[in-house]
Amino acid sequence: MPRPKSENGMTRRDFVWQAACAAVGAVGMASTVWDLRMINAAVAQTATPPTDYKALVCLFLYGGNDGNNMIVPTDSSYSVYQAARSNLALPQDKLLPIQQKNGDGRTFGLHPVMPEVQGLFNAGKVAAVCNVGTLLAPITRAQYFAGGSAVPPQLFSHSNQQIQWQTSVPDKTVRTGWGGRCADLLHSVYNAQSRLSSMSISLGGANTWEVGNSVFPYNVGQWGLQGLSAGGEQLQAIRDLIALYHSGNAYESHAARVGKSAMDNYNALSAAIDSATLTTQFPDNPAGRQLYFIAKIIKQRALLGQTRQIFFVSAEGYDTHFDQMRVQGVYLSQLSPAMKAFYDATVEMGVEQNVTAFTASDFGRTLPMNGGLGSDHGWGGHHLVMGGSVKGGDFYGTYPTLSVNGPDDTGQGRWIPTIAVDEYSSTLAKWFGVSDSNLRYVFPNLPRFARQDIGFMNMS
Amino acid sequence: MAHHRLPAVVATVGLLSFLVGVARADVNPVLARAVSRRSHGGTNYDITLPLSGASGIECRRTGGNIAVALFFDQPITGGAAEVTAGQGFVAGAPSVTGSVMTLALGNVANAQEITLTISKVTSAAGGVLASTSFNIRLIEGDTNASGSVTAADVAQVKSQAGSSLSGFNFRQDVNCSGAVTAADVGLVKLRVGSSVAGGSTANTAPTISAIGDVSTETGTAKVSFNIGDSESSLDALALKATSDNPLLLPPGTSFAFSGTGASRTLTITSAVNQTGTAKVTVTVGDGLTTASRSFAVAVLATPTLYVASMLPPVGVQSQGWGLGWLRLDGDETGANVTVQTSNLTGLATELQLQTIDGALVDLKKLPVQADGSYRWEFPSDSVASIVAAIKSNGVLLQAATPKNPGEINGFLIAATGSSTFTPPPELAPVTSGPASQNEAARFLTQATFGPTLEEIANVQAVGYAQWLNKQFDPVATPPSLIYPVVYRRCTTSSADDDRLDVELSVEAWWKNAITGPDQLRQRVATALSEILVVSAREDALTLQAGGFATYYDLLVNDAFANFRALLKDVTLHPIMGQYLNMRGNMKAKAPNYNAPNENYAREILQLFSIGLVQLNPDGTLKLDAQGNPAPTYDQNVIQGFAQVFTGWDTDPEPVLIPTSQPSGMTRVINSYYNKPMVVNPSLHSTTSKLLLNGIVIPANETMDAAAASAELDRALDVIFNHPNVGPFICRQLIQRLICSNPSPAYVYRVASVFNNDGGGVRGNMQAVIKAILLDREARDLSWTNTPGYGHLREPIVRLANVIRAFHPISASGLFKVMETDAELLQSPLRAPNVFNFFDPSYMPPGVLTSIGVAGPEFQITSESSVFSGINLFRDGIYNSFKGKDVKCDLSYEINIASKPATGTNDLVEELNLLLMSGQMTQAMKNRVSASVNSIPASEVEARVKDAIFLISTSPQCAAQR
Repeated sequence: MPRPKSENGMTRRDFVWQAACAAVGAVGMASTVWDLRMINAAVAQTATPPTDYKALVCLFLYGGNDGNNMIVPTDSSYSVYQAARSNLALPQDKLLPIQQKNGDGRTFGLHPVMPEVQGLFNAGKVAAVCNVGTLLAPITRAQYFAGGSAVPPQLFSHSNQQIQWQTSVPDKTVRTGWGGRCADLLHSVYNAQSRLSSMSISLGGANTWEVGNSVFPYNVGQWGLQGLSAGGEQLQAIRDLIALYHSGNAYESHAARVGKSAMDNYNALSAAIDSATLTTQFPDNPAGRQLYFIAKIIKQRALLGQTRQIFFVSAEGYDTHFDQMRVQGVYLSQLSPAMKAFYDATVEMGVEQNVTAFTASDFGRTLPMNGGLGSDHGWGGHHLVMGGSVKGGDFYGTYPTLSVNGPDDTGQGRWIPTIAVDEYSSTLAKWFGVSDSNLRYVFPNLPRFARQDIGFMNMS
Repeated sequence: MAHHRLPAVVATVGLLSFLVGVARADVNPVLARAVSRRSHGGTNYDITLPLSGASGIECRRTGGNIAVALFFDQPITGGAAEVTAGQGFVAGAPSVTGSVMTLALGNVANAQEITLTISKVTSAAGGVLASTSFNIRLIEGDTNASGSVTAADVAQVKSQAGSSLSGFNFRQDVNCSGAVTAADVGLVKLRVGSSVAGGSTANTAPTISAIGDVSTETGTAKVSFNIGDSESSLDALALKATSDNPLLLPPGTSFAFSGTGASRTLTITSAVNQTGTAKVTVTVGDGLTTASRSFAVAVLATPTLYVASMLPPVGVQSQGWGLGWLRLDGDETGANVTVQTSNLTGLATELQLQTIDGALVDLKKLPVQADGSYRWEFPSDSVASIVAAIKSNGVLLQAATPKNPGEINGFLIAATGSSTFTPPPELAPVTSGPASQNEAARFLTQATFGPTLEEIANVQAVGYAQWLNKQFDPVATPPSLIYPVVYRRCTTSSADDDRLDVELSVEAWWKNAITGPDQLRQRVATALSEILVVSAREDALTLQAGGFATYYDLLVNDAFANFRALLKDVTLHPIMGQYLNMRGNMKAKAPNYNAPNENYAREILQLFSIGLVQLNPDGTLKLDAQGNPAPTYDQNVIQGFAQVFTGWDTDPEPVLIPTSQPSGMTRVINSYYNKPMVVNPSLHSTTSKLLLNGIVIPANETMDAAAASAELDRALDVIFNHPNVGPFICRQLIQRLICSNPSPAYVYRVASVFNNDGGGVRGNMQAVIKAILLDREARDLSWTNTPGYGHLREPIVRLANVIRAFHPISASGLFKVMETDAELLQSPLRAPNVFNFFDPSYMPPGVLTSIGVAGPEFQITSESSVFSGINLFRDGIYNSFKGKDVKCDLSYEINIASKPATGTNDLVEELNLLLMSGQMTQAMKNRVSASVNSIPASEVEARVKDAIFLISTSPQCAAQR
């Protein structure tokens, strides 16, 4: 099969290959030689791609979202919850009931500020995944207390746990995220006609999740694409200096080439965003603004020549040590309508089957209230997955027993995860198009776990 | 006393005389050989004159004096000679040098035989040759020495007319003009018919030994052979080589003989880019007769070498590593691949070669050759794509084990090397200069964090050498350290951003980079921080702010010390100990702890000193006789060093840091990381330890602290003295300061100084730094026109260049710049891992790959970072640099730009000097000036900022050359 050629005669795969060699370093990452090598070995095994469209959207709830108050039991165990949480307990009658299609009889409600997500759940467009967290290998409570079994380093530390969630390799200093590694595998194969150098776009700033070895995130701020702060004649002068390299020195001409590529990327993406229109209204909050731009970029996917896209959204403020009832309410009340608007926009564009959004967060939080009307850093937490291909309206995994020193607890109401980040993420990566044989490259620790598919996605 | 000793002295002298006399006195000198010698246009050629039998024939013109050289068997002191028959006489007294007597025959007539009689030849030892004589025939034109001049002689001379003169045809240059010409032909024709009887010629042909066929892949080959001759001096014999394939082996440039006496060597050099076979004939001649031998020379296309350093990919649980190399046949139809793996979790079941387009071949399924390499014949339908992949450094070599399908891998990267190393010609460093402001600025761009007008003037005033000496002098220019800054901040302030955090070290780095008078020291220390890497990004180090600062200060202090001292200080610094797991590393302890941690052992060898493969003194690969690279060590060596690096941990006596707390209280922080690690001998391995080059530290069951320390020193000595260290470390230092692709000769010159500073000292960093900066390749401007010369400025250096150039001021006095990971993809001391921000061999695709040069700094350049970097520079120039503490005072530049008429021009020239060492092209000046002039002249500050911003963010400025 002949390779598609781009205007400059270089095939897209050539370009990607060169980009792979460029393996640009980024925040939290720099390619080591061996990182880079690995991925190309993996690429080599990728089969001929289909031409369908898929996008993966990571909603990272920075600070550690308190899942205990996002999804709350409304059955007989509510009283256990209420007792343990004290002033953090949400009133039972304010919880928004959600119906499980295949429930075990237990009932739950969502945080009162999340009616939009409630609607999506009950419509089967959102699934809940219970007690997900970073793990080196499955571990029982007995093993945890016996010691000697490996647990991720620096549990309960924000920066470490954020990175471990994003890399899905807690036990190694890894500078690439699992989203970036998916992009390494898929970008050159699916986005042969791409007008951007990357399939990974961050609306939420620098992150490790999207950093690949060969594909590198392109940053778009929540207020839109960040161009150069220079304008007018000065901007034209920058362009001219990039366009006219003079001395014949190779370092100079290559620097000019990268500069031109940066200009081209910016121009292509900004033109695409500017010309995209949507009727769906998004809430004017950080998550809403970020998802709005993502929706616009998805709308222009054909113009951008991309059939696989990865997006990163950052939602901050979830580190609720103080005044949690108010603070978490503020942020979840931003998130819920933003998610709904985004889902509606995918319906408007007819790609609701093709776009999956999921939450991720540093960790869950402690069940007991602390002295500041808040909760402290925990471990496992609950997460939401949204989209037309999600087997929604159901719970996946096991909701923990809400009891300090109970069967799921490490001692202070911090849940030992029963689903590893690796399992949660690989389910998404599989849906996104990473072949079974390539999953081990994206999730090197996956073989330690029983499942590579938790079951919440329609894989067709 | 004197009386007492005198007889003994006399006796000794007497004994010596006696011994010499016994040895020589009864052996009289013997005449061994005689030649008739004439100068042919300045070059002497000898005709051998037999001492018995048929007499020798001198066929050259008889006019003027003919020199005769007589060779005796021992040194002589004098003698007499006369013509005792025939016409002629010996002019003057013979001269004597060693065992050779030379005399001049005068007034010798043509076509006659004379007798030369030599008498009273005394040897240095006292022997005497009473008399001996021999005959010489003088027959002008008898070039074939037949005794008469015939048509055959005429034909022989004609055949040589126009040929250059050699030992083979000098007899045909009858008039001794230096060339065989028509004049010689005419002279011989004139003499046809003359004849002197004296028997047939006595000459016997020289001999030459058989020469075997040779083949070469490098374009050069050497063959050795022996020559002989019964009469002539072997050194007087002529040699020539000819080939039947002048395209492959052109005459004149392909053959060079060396050696003396009987043993000779022919070096064959083929024409560039030619392959094929040739029959080469070597001929030896004594002027009259010749002997020849022929052999075949096959010049094979040079195989190109590609080397892979194999490591576990991300996430793979393995301590394995390996080295592989592929030798692409010169004709590009196949390759030999050798793979050496170590420490895998199991046997390698597959050795895959892969490209982005898929698997190419499993080496395990290929035939193994005698040298252990796999022979890979490319499938005919994919030769082109395979060759293209190999040549683009795009083939991955991957080893699979039962446990790990891709346990280790590495790309095969083109490498140059040779099995025989020839030092490049000497090239003395510059001794004077700078010759101009621009050259001074260029020097400071390489040696410091950027020129300032003051420093340019200083370098011009004192010259390079004195400037360097002052920088080296710790009294005149004391080291600027960051620990005191960090300490002061956290002990005197309780502000949140003054908390004891490793970030303080990063910020303090900027203070010294921007304002430190010890600029050279700071620049070299930063270069070292990118070789001997620890990183503030490491979680385990973030709380060790004090210790982290002392690690960088170690590099600052040792930047001008000896590399051996640097290596030890780095090894024992607890921050490095923590970073690479030497801190707390213990000897094996049954049953659960089988072996010490190998991390530091591996990295000190691979990254900090010698690398994976043996190097020539110029940094190219040292190949074995078969053209294969040679590993520097194997897994057993790593294990040996890992045993050495056991028992070391932080000093239990803490360093106290009283830090101010937000509460107003002072909290004393105990730092164990501020001073070198100490050894606990009970945790130090007692086994024997294999080091490099087969050196072994023997087992020692009675280990104590002194013995454990001695083992560490021994191990570091062994590393330090490995011949790789010079080229390995010097090449990287050159890359950081001068250019990404130093020529092998440049590396050689600097590495030679590393090996010996001229005073016999190895590892003298001052001498190395001086050699780097004063080398012709660093200084001569002619190099700057080479397309692949120079490097991309590192982002932090580029930023420091701008800040330093324009009178920086700091609100806090601390010259703080916050970390720039997000904007520049680089912050000082925050490399992502031990492999630094970039790989020294990284070659970005595009123009650099096409001309085959590395561009490491491009590894941290992306489309996003181009924009974020430009914006960061703009914010700094227009407002303040990141962290809002540092800004530039542009009043000087504003003053320049304010001048009517010439303001813009003067401003651009000023910035050209400070930011581009005067290398800005006219087209760029025009474009920048146009932008500046588009701003109203009244807004002069805006004009200045516009110019600084445009120039400092341009690709032209990014490339430092």
